[in-house]
Amino acid sequence: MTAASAEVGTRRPPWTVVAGRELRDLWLGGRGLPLMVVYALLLSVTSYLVASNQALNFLEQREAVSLTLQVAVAVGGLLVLLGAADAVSGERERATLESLLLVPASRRQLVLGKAVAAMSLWIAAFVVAMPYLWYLGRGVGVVTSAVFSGLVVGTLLALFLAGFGMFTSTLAGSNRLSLSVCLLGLLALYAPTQMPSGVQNAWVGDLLLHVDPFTAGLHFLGAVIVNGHSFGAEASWLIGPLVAAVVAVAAALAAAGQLTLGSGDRS
Amino acid sequence: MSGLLALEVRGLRKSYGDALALESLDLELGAGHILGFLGPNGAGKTTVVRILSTILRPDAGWFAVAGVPNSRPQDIRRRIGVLPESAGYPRGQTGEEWLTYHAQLFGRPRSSARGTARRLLGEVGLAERGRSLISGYSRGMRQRLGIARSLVNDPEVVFLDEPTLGLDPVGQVQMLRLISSIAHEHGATVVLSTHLLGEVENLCDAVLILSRGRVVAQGTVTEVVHRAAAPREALVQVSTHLVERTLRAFSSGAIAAEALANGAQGEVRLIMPAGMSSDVAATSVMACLLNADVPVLSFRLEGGRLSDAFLAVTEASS
Amino acid sequence: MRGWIAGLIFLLLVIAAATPAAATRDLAPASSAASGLSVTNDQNALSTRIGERFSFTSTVRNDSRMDRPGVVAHLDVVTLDPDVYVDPEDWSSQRTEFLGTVPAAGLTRIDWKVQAVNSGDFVLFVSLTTLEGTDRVTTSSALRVTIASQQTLNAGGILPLVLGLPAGLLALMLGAAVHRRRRLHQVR
Repeated sequence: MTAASAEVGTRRPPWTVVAGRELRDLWLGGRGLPLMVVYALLLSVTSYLVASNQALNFLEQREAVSLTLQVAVAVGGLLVLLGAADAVSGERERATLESLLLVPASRRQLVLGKAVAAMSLWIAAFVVAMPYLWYLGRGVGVVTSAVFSGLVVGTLLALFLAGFGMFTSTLAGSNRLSLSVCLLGLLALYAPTQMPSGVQNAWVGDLLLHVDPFTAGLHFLGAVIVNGHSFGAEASWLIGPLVAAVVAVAAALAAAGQLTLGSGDRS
Repeated sequence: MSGLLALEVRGLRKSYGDALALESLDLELGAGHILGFLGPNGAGKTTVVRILSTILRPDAGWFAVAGVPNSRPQDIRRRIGVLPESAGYPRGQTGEEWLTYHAQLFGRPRSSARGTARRLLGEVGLAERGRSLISGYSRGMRQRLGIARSLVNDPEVVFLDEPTLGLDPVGQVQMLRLISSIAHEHGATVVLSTHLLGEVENLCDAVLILSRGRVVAQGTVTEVVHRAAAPREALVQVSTHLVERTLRAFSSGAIAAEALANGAQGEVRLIMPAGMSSDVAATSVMACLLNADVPVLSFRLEGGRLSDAFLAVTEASS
Repeated sequence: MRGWIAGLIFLLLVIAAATPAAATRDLAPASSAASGLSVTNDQNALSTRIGERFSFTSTVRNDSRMDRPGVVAHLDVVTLDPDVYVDPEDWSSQRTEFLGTVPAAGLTRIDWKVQAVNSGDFVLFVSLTTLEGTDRVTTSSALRVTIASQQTLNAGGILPLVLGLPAGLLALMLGAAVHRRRRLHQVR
């Protein structure tokens, strides 16, 4: 018997196999579509209120587009984070990680495949948001800039959150710990938006708003869509999300290289 | 490194913090053998299986599996199949989907992987349930699915960690038949970690007993039993009036004899010297009784089985 | 003649500045003439629609011969309809400007960016004060703003979207579940 496969020449990169399986599990057998239904309902409620409620109706269309897009980016990012936070620690908790670690693929490939599946939640969230953006933004010429800026900011934030989630999930001993740390991290990222305006205007506050990928990304969307600023004029607000995405993905890949069975590997 | 060795292990050592899990393991196992890997709970069996399957890194030592040194873990994983202890299974997938997935991860194209999955499901008796969700499988079915998973890459060495754990007697027999077929039909070397000592005795041609992270016995079943020097006894029944003569016949030899006060009439217990093999023991007893002109009504040799050796060596080490 | 008048004004200012605050408060209302500071807006009326943004410019002048340090300008909104509640924070997030020193005989301009949050008639005005040295508050003339209400989006028009998209996704989800279940049951 020869163990080495005779079909080595036709083998797919393992991360594509993992990603394919995870995508099927997520979208055909599991949580993906129910999550999208709930998410679409949220966007529907937001859009309807913007369009009909007297108190909210003062918003001009550009603001309505910006608000809807910010909801899409924030919720899409949250879904990515939850998906990534469960990716490895969930397998560990369900005792299915060992079988996966026994395949002749690098740990990084396994984690990469799972991260791709988590990222698909953002792609789906963005696609679902597009009809709303089109309806709210038609006639005022912001649909294109909203779609493009939303794609850029949302993808950077989703990459950051996927990296953060995978990093945490790889190192966490339990799924509960992983989810708790991730949600706590997300709350911390929202915190700067609650700073008093005086602090936000001080240099420390301004730096914090620039560094925090969430506040920076959402500020960029507001500036481009509502104020009609050019991408170039507001590019400095993309540095935070970009750096955060690169660092988080690098950290996740570094942690993936050290992926172990976890605390339960003692016999 | 010999090409004939399926497993070669030198000075393997592993600790978890201050707790020593494996003191020093040396092992050689030829290709095509079935090794019974025994030890009480916490002896370090799963640690060894995880080290040899490259899931855990040893603190010290060197090993090669199917001729591949531990410096190439991915190549080792390509050549081994493992049924982990208490393995989990994805409840939302069918058995066929799960096996196809793993076959693909071992480099098979999708169509070939599906063919492999179906073939293996048939081999382990799950052909009818291959497209059912794993969540509906019984424990025994899941174990058989795990065995099938360990074979998706046509492995040279298969590690089975407690494959009969939690199975009913019928399930255990089915599982042991399956393991036998892995060795004989697939031609793979099998490392079987189990508590079923009787079955190991019948199935395995080599045994390794671990206790508290140390190897306390190693070799063929006969060698282990012999080296374990497990005390063994025989019960011989003679006519009631010949009991005294029987006791006298053994009074001067290596075999001690005593009448059983509460046993059946005419029963005498014989205690063999440590290390005496079954054949020698039977021959010696019969020769003694023949010389004393004592007709034997019945003779039963006890002890000297792997279970006795197991108890002897593990108790001695603790 | 002008020089005399200016000299007189200057003298009066010096006296006013030297006079105790309580006495000043009683005697003189805040006026641009008293402090030398004045503020004017480039518009005194405008009309717009709810939700729209508009801007106007205020010019702060220091007509005295002394630099005025620590000048602060503040924008406020007053509703002329008792049934309308106004929260100025909603109208402009940057309503206070610290102008620093306005040089003698100099001026500073402030651009205000405002969003029309409510419909109706409103008055916007700018007040000036200084960080220290005087308790006077100088105000601009009123900028009268008339804001028309409007429905920016059609609530009825969005109904097919807000109902249809979740329903479509729900149908997709159920379809996928039924398809999968059927496939599983076929082989059981």
